[in-house]
Amino acid sequence: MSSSVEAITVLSSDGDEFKITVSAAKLSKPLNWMLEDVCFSDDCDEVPTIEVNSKTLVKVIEYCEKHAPRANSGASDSDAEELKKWDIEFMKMDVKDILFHILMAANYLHMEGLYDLACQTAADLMKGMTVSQIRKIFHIKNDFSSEEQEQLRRQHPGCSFD
Amino acid sequence: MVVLPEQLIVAILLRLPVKSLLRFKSVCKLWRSLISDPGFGQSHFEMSSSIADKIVHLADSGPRSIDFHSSLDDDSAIVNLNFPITPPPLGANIRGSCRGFVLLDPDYHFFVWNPSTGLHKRVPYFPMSSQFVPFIHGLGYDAADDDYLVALGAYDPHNSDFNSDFQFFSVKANSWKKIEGTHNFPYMNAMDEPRAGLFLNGAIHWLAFRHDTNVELILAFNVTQRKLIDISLPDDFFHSLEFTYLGTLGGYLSLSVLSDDNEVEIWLMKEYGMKSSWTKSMVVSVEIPIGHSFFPLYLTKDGEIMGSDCSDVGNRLVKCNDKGKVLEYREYDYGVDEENAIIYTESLLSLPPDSGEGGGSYHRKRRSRRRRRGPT
Repeated sequence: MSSSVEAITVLSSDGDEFKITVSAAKLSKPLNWMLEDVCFSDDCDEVPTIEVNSKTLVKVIEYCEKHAPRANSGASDSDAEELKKWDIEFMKMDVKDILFHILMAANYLHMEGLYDLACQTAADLMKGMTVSQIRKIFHIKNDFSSEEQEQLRRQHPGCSFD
Repeated sequence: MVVLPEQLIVAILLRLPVKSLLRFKSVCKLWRSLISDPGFGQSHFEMSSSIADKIVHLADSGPRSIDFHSSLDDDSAIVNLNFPITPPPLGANIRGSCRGFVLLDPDYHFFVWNPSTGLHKRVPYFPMSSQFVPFIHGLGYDAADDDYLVALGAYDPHNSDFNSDFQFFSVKANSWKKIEGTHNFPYMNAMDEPRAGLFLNGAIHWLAFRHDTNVELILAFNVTQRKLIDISLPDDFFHSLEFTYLGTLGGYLSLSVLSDDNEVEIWLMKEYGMKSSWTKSMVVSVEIPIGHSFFPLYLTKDGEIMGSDCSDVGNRLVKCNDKGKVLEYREYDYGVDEENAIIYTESLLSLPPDSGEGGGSYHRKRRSRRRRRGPT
């Protein structure tokens, strides 16, 4: 790998090209391994594919670029505070459409910070939901038979299947 | 459409509060089994972001939990709970709290009870002479053995030799045991009414009086080492223990006292077990009428004090800032006091299974009296 390279090009699962700086890519272990394994110099035309769709990859790269300076050099408390605020704004998104995709991407790319953030955001959004709202966003069918529901209701008064 | 793999569903569930998880058990069979798994309960408890401290309060109308992190005026912060037996006995006391379990003492027996899930185990007192007065009760967790221990100490106040007995009940062994090599338990109560044992740092703590040395102190029972330890009070602590409350404020062993002029003095033991680390960390003039009794239940991260204010005119929970200014209060028909209320951490934890080594020596032998069930 040439040390002069500052950004690398990756392909999303949809086949779109994205640029990500080397320092931002270091937030992900698999991307980091790619940096070490694959030749990114000009005379090398191999472009690695990331199994993440374009819509999600845009967000993941945005997160990496924002967090890279702090991850690489450490930061003051005020920076950490600012970053926290940024994270909250960044995470204002639809659960089904994008948040779950980001969680899967963070898992796949071994990005601990983003993984925790996505899990916590999902949990915060879910905690006040009803059972049927949860089924909807997770695409889950109620597989309790009516007898089982009746029995559980008897054992746990106040238990609701809706 | 995205379908999350089970591992990621679990990762999200681990970050949800107990209340939501209990509701989401009805989502589907997979979720019910994920949430009911004892390993999940353990991981959930260890994940600090999803756990919450609440007050369990045995009111006349039945037990309830109070979420004091939200506004005290918020009615949804109070949730009615099911006592292990119905109807809930009047005058039951709370004797301890540990990892989401609360130790209830209805009358000469205990319940180790998880108020969040309703799970409970009945533990009878060890047999003792009718002359004996129980004065030490508590619940602790032995992390080395993954076992819960109920501690009970009693003495005979009519006997000049202070006959006494201290035993602990292991949930795993399902039996009471004495501390090995100890024949003498030279402790008495330091106040009229016994108070809950406080679990911190692997030990259960009580304010006590040692009659062989004539010293007031904190008695600790280390549940892992199964031994008793004396912890000294601060040198310059001159208050009566009757008006002193032992607590675990901010994760430290704490003593709080309300003086006549409504100053609450809070002492923290900054380094556990080190007498020299006792620090008078706060003296707060709490804005409550003179003559009321007040004891701090909880210190929040921001230094706010959550306390109980009881008097003849009423009972209320009070939230005040670190200067003593009352920020919020709520009145209750039934007082929140040190015998009927305790802080507990919501958990989905279950009790370890009984290994059966203790046998059934304390099972009630009342079979003959049991009502025969008629044909249905």
